[in-house]
Amino acid sequence: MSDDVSDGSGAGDKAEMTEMPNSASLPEDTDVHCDLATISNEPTPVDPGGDVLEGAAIQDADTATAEHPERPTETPLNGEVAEDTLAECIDSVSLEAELGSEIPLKEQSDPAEGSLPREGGWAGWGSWGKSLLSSASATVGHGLTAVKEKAGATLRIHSVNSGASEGPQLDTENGVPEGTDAAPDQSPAKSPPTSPSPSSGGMLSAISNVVQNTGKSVLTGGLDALEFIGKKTMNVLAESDPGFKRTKTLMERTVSLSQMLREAKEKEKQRLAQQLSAERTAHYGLLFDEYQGLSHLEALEILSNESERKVQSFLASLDGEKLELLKSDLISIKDVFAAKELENEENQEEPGFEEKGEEFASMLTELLFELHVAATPDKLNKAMKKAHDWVKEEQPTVSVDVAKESKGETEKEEQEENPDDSQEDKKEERATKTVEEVYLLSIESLAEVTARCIEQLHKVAELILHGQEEEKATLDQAKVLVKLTTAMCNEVASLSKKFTNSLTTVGSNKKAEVLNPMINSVLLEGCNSTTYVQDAFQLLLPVLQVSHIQTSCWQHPTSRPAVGNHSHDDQTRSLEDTAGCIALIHALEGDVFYASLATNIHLRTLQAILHSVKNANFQRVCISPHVYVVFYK
Amino acid sequence: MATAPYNYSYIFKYIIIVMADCPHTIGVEFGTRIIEVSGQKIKLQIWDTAGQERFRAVTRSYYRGAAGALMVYDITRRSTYNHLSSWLTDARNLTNPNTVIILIGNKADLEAQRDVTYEEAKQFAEENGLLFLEASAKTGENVEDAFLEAAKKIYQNIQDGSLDLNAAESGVQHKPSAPQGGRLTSEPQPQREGCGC
Repeated sequence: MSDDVSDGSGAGDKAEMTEMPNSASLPEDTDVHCDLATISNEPTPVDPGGDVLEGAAIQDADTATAEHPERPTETPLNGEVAEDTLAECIDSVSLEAELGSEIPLKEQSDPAEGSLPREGGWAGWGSWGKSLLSSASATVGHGLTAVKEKAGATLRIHSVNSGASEGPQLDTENGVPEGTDAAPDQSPAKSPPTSPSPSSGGMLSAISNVVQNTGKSVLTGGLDALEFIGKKTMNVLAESDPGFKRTKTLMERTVSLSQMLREAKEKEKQRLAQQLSAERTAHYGLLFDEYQGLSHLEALEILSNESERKVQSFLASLDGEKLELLKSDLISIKDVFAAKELENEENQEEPGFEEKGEEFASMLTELLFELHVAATPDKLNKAMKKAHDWVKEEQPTVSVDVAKESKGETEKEEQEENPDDSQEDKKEERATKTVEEVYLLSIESLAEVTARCIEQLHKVAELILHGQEEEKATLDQAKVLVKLTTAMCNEVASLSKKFTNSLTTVGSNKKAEVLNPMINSVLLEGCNSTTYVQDAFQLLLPVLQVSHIQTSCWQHPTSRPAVGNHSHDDQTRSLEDTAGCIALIHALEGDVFYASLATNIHLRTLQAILHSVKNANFQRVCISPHVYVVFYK
Repeated sequence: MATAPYNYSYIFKYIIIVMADCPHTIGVEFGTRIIEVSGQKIKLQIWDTAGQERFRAVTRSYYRGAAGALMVYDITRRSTYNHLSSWLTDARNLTNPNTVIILIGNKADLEAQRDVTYEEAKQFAEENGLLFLEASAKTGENVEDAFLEAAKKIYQNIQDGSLDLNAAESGVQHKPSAPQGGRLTSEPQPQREGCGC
C-alpha cells in the first residue's frame, strides 16, 4: 500500500526536487520586486480575489494551448513545466467552482441521504449550517454510485458466505425484471437489493430514506406532470438514485403512478412518526453529530476555505517565473491528493485488507509522528478499540485469531482497563445481545469511529497551520497524509465488514427480510463513513498548500521567525530581525491583516511596522492597498 | 446508549476563549448543551478554543459566526486579565456586531488568592458593553448561568429583531417546523473553563 503511494507520486517527487533550489533562492531574487511593483500599476490586484486569478489563469491557459496544440501534457521536462502547469492550474484555481456545481445535486439528494438529517431540514437557515451541508456531503453524487457498486459487490460476498441471505436476495432481484429491462445500465448485481418489507421501517435508515424522500420531493414538485411523463422517467431517475429502486418495486404493484407516489408519501409520514417515538432507531447522522463529527468537519472546512483564500491571494500577488514555480509546487501537492483516490479504490478491492486493521493503532501513531505534528491519536484509537472489542465478542467462531489479536492490541494500549475484566463483562453481554443490538452498535461504532477520524484530520490541519514545532517538506506531509487517510478508510471498511459478519452470525436464525436491511444499512453507512473521511482529507489540500507557501516563500531558510508569543512590539522586531527575508503581508478581509510573522496586525500597526522597517533599511513595496512586500536591502 | 429525544428550537454557536496557557486543548474542542430560555429549548454548539498563544491564529478562524462569546480569565492570575483587551479586539473584529460577549472570571472559589477584584472587572465589562459574571468551573457555581445569561441576551436580540436570523453568520439556526428526534450527548462534555491551569 505504502509502496503504491510513492510509486504513484514519483513524478511529483522529481518535480519537487528540481524546483527546490529555485524556491530556496527566492529571497535573493531581486527581480521579484520589480515584477511586483509593476503589478501595482494595474487595477486588478486591488482586489486580489480568486476571480481575477482564475480569469488570468484561463487566459494564460488558452494562449498556452493555442501555441502548443499538439504538445503532450505528460512530459514535465524542465523547460515546459511552466506551460504544462498553467493548464493544470485551472483545476486548482477553479476547484471551488467545481464543488459549487455539485451543490444543487447535493441539495437534491441530501435530505434523502439520511446521514445529515438536521442540516437537511435546515438548509437555508444559516450559512454555517448550509456550508457544512455542502462539505459534509461533498461527494454524495459519486458516493451513492460507489455505495451502489460496493453494496452490490459485498452483498454477493454475503450471499456466498451465508446461505440465509442468498435466497431472498435472488428473490428481490427476480422481483424486478421490468425495472432492469427498462434500465439496462442498472445491472441487478450492482443494485442493492432493498427489501420493500414494511417491517423494516425504521431500521432501513438510509436506503428507505432515499426512496421516501425522493418520493416526497417528487410529490411536491408536480404530481400531474410526473404522472404524464410516466414510468419511463422513473426508471431514468432511478439510475442516478439507487434507493429509488424501492419506489420502482412499489410501482410494480400499483397501477397508477400517482397512487404509488401518495403511498410513498404516506409511508414517509408514518416512518417519521415512528422514528420520533422509536428511540432505539439507529440514526447514523444523529450519532455522527453527537460524536462531534459534524462540528469537526465544519471547523476543518473553515480552515480549508481560509487557506484556499490565502493561497489564491498569494498567487495573485505573484508574477512570472515565481508564479509558475509556486504553481507547479502546489500542483505537485495536489497530484499527491488526487492520486490518493485511485490508490484507495484499488485498496478497497483487496480482499485481505482487514487483517491490517489490528496494526492500526501503532500505524496511526507512527504516521502522525512522521507528519511532524504533535497530534496524538488517543481518542481515535480508543474508539477503534471499542469497536473492535465488541465485535470480536460477537465472533466466537474465529476466536483463535481474535485472542491473539486482542492480546497484541491490549499490550499496545496499556492505558486501557484490565483486559480480563472487560472481556468477561462483554461475554456476559454477548449472551443477551440481539440482532437489533448488534445493528445499533454497528451503526454507532461507525459513526463514532468516523467522527474521530475527522477530528484527527482536523487536529492535523490545525497543527500544520499553526502548531508545528518542526518543519517537514509539505510534499512529504501530503504523502504521509495519504497513507493516514488510506489507513483510516481501510479500517472503517474493515469494521463495517466485521459488523456485517457479526450480524450474519447473530442473526442466522432471522428471516432475511429482517436481516438484509440491517446488513445493507451497515454497509451503506460504512461507505458513507469512508466518503466522509475522504472528503475531510480533501479539505486538507489548501491547508498543506498554504503551509507550503509559508515555509518556502515567506521565510528565510536560516532564520525562522517565531510565530505567536509576540506582542506587536515583538512582531516588529522579529520582522526586522528576519534579515534577507521577504515578508509578505496579506490582507484577508476588511481591516484585519495577516502576516507570516505576525498573527494579528491591524492597519495602524502595520503602518507603524512598515514605517520602522523603512528606517531600518527595509524597502517597502506596495502592491495594492492590501498587499505589501518588504525587502531587506 | 441513553437515548433521550428532545426538541429544540434554536442552535446557538458559542465560542469560549480562555485567557490561559492551557496545554490540554489543541485548537478547538467541541461540546453541546441544551438550555431553556423563555420556554424555548436551545442547543448550544460550544467551540472551546485553546488558550495557548501559538494557536491564537488558528482559533481566530473559528470566531466567525458565533452568536455568543465567553471570554474566560482567571481571577487568581492577573496576567490572564491583562490579556483581555487584545483578545476582545480580536473577538469584536471577527464576530458580527450582534455577537453577545460575556466576560467570566473563573476560579471564584479561590477567594483567598484573588488577584483581580470583582469591581474592576465589572467596570471593564461595562465600559466595553460585555455581560459579566464570576464563576467557578470547579464547584460549578454560575457556570450554567454564564451559558444562560448569554443565551437570554441572544434570544432577546432575536425577539426585538436586532439579530437577523437570515443574515449570514448570525450564529443562530432556527428550526421553525415540527420537532425532530435527537439524542443528548452520551459523553459528558468536559468543563474547559475548569482546566486546572
